[in-house]
Amino acid sequence: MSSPAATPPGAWKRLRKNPIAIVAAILLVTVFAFAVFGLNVFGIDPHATSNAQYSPPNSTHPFGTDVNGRDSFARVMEGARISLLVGFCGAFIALFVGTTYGLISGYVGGRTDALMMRFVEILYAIPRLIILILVTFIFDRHFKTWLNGIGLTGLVGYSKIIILIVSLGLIEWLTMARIVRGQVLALKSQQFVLAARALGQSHTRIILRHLLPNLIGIVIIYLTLTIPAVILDESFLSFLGLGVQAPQASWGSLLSEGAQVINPVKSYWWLLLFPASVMSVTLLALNFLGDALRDALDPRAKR
Amino acid sequence: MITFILRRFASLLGVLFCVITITFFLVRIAPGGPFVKERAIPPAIEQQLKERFNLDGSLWEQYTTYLGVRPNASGHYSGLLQGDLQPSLKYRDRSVREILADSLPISITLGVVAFIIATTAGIWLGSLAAVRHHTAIDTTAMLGALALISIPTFVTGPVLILFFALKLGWLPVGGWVSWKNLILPAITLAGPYIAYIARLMRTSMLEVLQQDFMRTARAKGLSETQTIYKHGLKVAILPVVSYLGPLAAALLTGSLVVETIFNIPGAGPFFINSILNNDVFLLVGVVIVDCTILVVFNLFVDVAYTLLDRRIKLYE
Repeated sequence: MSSPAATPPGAWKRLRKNPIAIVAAILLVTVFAFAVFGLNVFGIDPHATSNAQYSPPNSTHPFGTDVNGRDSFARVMEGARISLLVGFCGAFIALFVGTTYGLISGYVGGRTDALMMRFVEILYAIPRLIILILVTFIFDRHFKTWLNGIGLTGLVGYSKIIILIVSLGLIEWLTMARIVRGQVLALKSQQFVLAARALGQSHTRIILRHLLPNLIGIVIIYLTLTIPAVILDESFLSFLGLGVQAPQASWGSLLSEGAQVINPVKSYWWLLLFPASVMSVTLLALNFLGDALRDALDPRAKR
Repeated sequence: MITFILRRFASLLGVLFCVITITFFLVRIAPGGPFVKERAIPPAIEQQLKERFNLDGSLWEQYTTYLGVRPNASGHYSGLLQGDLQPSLKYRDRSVREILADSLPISITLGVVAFIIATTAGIWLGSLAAVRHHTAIDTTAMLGALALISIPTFVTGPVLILFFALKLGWLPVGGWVSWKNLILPAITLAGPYIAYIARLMRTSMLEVLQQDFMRTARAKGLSETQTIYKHGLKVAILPVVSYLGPLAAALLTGSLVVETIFNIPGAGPFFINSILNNDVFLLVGVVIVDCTILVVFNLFVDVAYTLLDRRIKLYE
């Protein structure tokens, strides 16, 4: 007894034929490469200050320098590192929570389903980011004390990032849960699931062997769309000064610095332009890729 | 219908109560109280301050006093139930109620204008793209929508300022003086949601355009415009209506950033400062008001949804 294939035939081919998807994928790989290897390859330090305050883009500093004479190119790469780390890890947590929640809700059905979905609806309607700001701010201090207590002082500098990842993951799972639940509802009444039940397979086995493989497609699509959402949330917090702490940089904190120096007298445009373009291009590429994946994996959906 | 509204209302009160409780305890268990500053204050004074603001007892006592179910030090019941939001701990001479009364109308004006822009522009763009499916208009609109979703408001904001305020000088850079101050922030805030709604609208309109009742409408001799905007829109708009609740929540949060960028004296800056200062009363006050607005708004949306879609019976 085997489930139908998780991906419809020709999905990969359709994806490769989509020029936008290819461009988006290449852009993403490039940004990734720069984020991971950039600082080491170019041998530059994002925290090294110099006397070259606010120097416009030139051959030594391709993206110019900031108020402390730090190289913006290095800062943007460090920002990419942190923003992408938060985005991916946060999205994976959201994926885990959302899929589990949606699976249970859809598979159990009935009153449990109604109750669980009502809860999701309620969460949708409260200002989650506001609660999130509160939670990150408060738990950060506890977490720091705790890390110091158990002797992991090396991690103290990263406590905010860890907290951000976990809490962003814990608020961005709602859409995933809804989608997965809908899919499970549709799947569980299909013949192959009924057949598996009739053959006496356990619920765990049905979920793991028959339902999960069929969910992979849709989950990947929404993973691609959750990553930019988490990156955007993080940059939002950092912009407000509630995200990563200086001297660490994320795209959001860089943009916040850049936005502050836009004024009529003298505008240091490079401090806004470069982080903004890199971030927007990355988010755009992720969104395009998500859309392209949806088109490729779900031929019935209209473009 | 009445039962449905009442039941919803009760559950909303429950949600509100949970949010208040969680917020209060979260802030109070945070290390470093509202009176801890860079410069240490004598313990006796700190104790006095705590007593004055009823923050000296156990957490439970503080919480019940705040709710107004336990008398405070002077023997009065003066808490949420009595409509007392307490003074702000940071801005000592002002009560939370005064601060909110000053700043909230500004935030709400901004939010409402952005809401109107987002819905009208989104619905219009989305239907246009659907009706002109597979044309340049459709492609451009959808590419533009994706770009708007991907660019954060704190980039669009400064760029709009740079262009319309600094280069062209048409509109003010920031502040809150005349209606002109409203234009750039409202557009900035609405931007991503125009895009979201346009995408929603387009998908659902494409679906509706193929339905039987649309063919019937055309067959009975209605013009294409009438068919689409009289018959199609009514059904196609439903997914947008169900997005209005999340939209309001998003606008409320988004206005934090937009108010910061455009230097608007709304509730946003107070909220952020209240967190940084551990100003528990102001913080809970903002959260209560925000949640109440959303929760009531969602009730309206639910009711509107039933009225629009006769196929749905909410009151089982």
